[in-house]
Amino acid sequence: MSEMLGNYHFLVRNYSLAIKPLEKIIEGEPGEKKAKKKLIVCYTQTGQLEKALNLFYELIREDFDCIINTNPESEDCPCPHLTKDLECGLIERDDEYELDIELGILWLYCSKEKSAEYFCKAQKLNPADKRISSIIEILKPESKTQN
Amino acid sequence: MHENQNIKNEILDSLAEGLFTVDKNFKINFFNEAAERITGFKKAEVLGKFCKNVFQSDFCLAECPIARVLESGRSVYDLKTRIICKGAQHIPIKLNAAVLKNSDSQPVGGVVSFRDVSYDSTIESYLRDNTNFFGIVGHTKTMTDIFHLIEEIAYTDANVLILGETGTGKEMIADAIQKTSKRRKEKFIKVNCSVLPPNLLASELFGHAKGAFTDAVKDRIGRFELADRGTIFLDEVAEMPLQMQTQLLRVIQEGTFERLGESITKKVDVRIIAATNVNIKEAIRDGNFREDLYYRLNVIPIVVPPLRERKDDIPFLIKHFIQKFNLLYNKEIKDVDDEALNALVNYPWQGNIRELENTIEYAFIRNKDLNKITSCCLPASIIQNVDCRENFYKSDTRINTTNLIELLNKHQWNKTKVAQILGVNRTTVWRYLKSIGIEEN
Repeated sequence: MSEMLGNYHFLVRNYSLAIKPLEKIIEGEPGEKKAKKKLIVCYTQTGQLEKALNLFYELIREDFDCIINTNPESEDCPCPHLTKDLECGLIERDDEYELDIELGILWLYCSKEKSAEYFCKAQKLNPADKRISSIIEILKPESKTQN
Repeated sequence: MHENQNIKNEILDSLAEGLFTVDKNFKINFFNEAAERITGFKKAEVLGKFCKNVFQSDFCLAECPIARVLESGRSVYDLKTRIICKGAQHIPIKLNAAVLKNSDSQPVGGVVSFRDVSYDSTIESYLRDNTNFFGIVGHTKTMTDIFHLIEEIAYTDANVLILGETGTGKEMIADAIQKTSKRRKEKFIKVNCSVLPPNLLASELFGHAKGAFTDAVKDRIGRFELADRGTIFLDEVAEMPLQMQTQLLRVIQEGTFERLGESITKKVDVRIIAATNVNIKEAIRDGNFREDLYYRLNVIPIVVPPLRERKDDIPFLIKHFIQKFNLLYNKEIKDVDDEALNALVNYPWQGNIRELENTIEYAFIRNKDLNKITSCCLPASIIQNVDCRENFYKSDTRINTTNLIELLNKHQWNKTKVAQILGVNRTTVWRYLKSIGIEEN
């Protein structure tokens, strides 16, 4: 399972097949942020939202900029399409809270404000989750971006 | 270092084959001049771009050759496919692909070389007109029986199941069935069931509705719908997952199916030609193939014999491939010598006609001077116990000792001149003289 094969499956949006090689990369190189960014998307699209949220939370605490500075074109990021499809119901989700979390995660690859908007909605539905509060703190407009 | 890279790039630019490399993210990082010529894209337009966004071909998603190498660990040779060039023109290509690795043997990129085979299609049509039956070469009784059967079934719509080992020409038989059938003017859609992963195969065959799954951003018509009123060829049908076999059975029985993510039932009128190289009875026994589907497909069974069971066709096939490669390589090879023919006829040909074709092409590439293929031009696996050094001179009928000495005397022992007259290299004359004990000076 090579990194390159993980990249290929991600490029052709075969998320379930991309997971294993991407996980392997992170296992060998825990600081590998590019693989983490892709893996978060893969988890959201394969029904593993809890894993996606944990990894997302870990990454934005470590390097917030690496997600917000995503260039959709040069990184072939599927998030602009995914957020659009999720918002207009082309991709259906049963649980509103989970949908907000998923959109909050995916929107950060495109817009910090929209991402914060969805995390705030999720927080109203489940105020007990400390991770969400912490994410909102990081996403606040006055939050400094790291370099 | 920089100078070395320039030299390497110049070498790659001098190739007649198109060549590009990608990094581990599948972004193009080299594109040679032939690739520019074939595709119409300029280097500046493609460097740094994802290859899938440049070529925008279906095969990028389903059959990416570099991904295939990564998965199988084996390089890809002579894969026939189509790419979309600048200006949306589709061209047929044959490509080779390999993975580039770093010093730790980790893949860090890929290389694809390709050539435009539009000209090959012209050659194929020429050869098709010069063969026994729609491009198929066959004089043995088993083959002529198959040709007669195809003619007999021309007016039916019955499903056909073609069985035969790999490389026996099952697809050509399917082509002939379609071309002789009353549906010959309708669509003929080919699907290789073993190439696509199960999740893509369902969408490929039956189509999907917008939103059926992530990335299904618009409705997509499936192959069955596309083939309506025509014929579909399901190659490697035994590789189809069991769940898909159930869906296929329903299409055969009722002519109906639904696109993925849609509840509207579609009805089609499609004739099915299926083929497989696996032992289908065994597959049924092992629970890998549905028995009811087998009986539905096997209305007209055609068993294509392996090449070792139709040895009498081998000389005709050799002649056919010599004609083909003479056109392709611009050579004038007339025949094979007796020893080579004997080796070719007696070889077991596990890869059947495809292996024979590759062997003749190999011999063409190895053959530098002669107008005949000798046994020494053949791969070592086919010829055994042949001393090629000695054999080389024996088999070259243009050289014999008396004639050679006469010619050398006539031309003041000018070996270059004599070689030209004989149509061989100067070194061939020199080696021949050495082999008969006449040294330089």
